[in-house]
Amino acid sequence: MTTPSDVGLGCYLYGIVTADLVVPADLAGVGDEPVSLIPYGDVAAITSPLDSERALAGRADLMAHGRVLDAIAALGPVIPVRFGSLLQDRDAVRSELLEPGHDRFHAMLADLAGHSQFTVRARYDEQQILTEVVAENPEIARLRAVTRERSDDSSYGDRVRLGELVSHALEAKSAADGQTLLSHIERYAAAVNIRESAGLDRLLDAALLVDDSRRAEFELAMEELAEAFAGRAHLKLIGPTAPYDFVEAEE
Amino acid sequence: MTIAATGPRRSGGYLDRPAPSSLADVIDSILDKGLVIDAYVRVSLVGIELLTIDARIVIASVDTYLRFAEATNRLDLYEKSKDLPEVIEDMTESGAQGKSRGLLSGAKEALLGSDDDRRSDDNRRADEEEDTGDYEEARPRRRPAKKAAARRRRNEE
Repeated sequence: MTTPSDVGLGCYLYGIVTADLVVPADLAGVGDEPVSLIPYGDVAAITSPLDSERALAGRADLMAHGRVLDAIAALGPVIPVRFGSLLQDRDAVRSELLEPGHDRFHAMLADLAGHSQFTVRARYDEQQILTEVVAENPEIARLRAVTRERSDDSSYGDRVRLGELVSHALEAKSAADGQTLLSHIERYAAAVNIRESAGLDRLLDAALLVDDSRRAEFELAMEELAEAFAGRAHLKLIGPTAPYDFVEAEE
Repeated sequence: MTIAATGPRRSGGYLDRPAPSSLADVIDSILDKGLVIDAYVRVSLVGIELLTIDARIVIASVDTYLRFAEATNRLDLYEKSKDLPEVIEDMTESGAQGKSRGLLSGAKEALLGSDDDRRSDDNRRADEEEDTGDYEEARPRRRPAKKAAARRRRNEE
């Protein structure tokens, strides 16, 4: 624990909320420090004290950052600030952050009110999707048969070619299946952010900003999609969380 | 795929709803997201952001193609009636590909800490392990001996 008398004590910043939000008394932040608000006009910063000499980026710090923001998001609109943001002191939070940004933050919070972020992660069953790819592409099936029977060195070119064709086939599949998934859920979202991701089993990573009044419908649609894709892909739904994907700066 | 033909509505447990979110979910969700603010002291993130970004742009590499080819080759097309637990385990073995695996696990190692620190997460679902850097964990693999040897050889290079 740090104390207010420590030299180099800064304000760790989680996000920005409306000034009337009441922070739960038992909410512990980074370093297990108590979380409090620094208000300015209609907005307020969520902060906790942090020794600026202390290195961040441990797993506990990242989890604490997300835990605080998701707890706050359940109480009212919040603009998440990027992990690792530290201001010098409480005065700096007001004069350097809240005062110059007040009107912009106020407008962003009004837009976010009544919405929560949900993140969809869809991953193929690797065996199933590769079986489809081989069955649907004669050239892939041929190269697979050729390279299976030969040593790695003598089939190098064929193996690269095989992998390239498989990669392209998987891209086409994930583009089509991803669009199918989105077409069934984007109607529930005020905004959608398609994330970049990699991996053989990648199907779709998308964040959706869902209106609270449509949340039940959205969750039911996700359940139905997960069942429809069962055996072929695995769907994961994370949320509701703070709207991490929907607060990009508009400079 | 016809989504309309999903049969009667029920909560069949097909959708994974992790709560609270795992570390892997948190990393993917928040590490490089959120409002970026000027005029403050930025705490060092030991290069983790750069690593995760790098990992996304090495997809179209020869190394990745070779791994895709290997995954395709070790696929047993005549073994389609596997039950789900086996399928999930197989996914776990080869979730990430190519350099993205090394870079991502490198970045995540920094967050995940040592093996000892990680034990508390071992009771998570098997299909989440691919996200947590436990890629090289030894597991029984049902693969022809020749292929297994070839795989080991490449790993040592």
